Amino acid sequence: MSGGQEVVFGQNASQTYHAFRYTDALGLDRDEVIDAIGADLRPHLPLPFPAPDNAPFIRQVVVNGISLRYHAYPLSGDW
Amino acid sequence: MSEASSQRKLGPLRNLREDELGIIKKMLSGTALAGKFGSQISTMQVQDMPDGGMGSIKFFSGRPRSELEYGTEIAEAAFRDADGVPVSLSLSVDKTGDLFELDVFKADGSPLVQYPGLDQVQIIERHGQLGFPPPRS
Repeated sequence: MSGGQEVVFGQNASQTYHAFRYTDALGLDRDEVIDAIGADLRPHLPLPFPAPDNAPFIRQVVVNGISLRYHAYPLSGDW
Repeated sequence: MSEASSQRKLGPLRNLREDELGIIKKMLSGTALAGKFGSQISTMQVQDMPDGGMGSIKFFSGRPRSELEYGTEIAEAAFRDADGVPVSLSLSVDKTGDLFELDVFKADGSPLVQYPGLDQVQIIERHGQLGFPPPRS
């Protein structure tokens, strides 16, 4: 996540690859994963900043019948 | 090598560094697997993962393992890096129960500056809850 609590999935090619490495291996479409996570996360925004115990916010979504767990960090309290 | 393939390339085999070893031992210490891995962890080899320098490593078990062999997370920890940015650690095993990855997720995706002292590394226990971890009692 970035300033304004816009949802982002890595800020360069390596980070993006790392973020999607499991869903890519599962053959899931990145856009479908992004849409599912965005829809699930949006009602919980803004996440409190700083993150309690420095730990990420964790949720689960289902994409094409596959349950996925995702981690999200707030980078600022802006909203 | 193409840019895309370089993003997927694991680093060369190497031994665990002392700071990594200390953190992994701390993460294992609260699990039922501490005994299983306690004696072998210091001799295990790992490969740096292409995560932009956050510090994720993949354990080598004698052959390459794909992401599809991921089993489950066995321990989670977190700390604040020297630049103040939170960092999450997730230790996992593969489907056969062998150590698989230490995934390092720095909140802003920037390279890890350094591991802190072990007393600064907080073991995270979620007790099956989603969201942020429950307050410690």
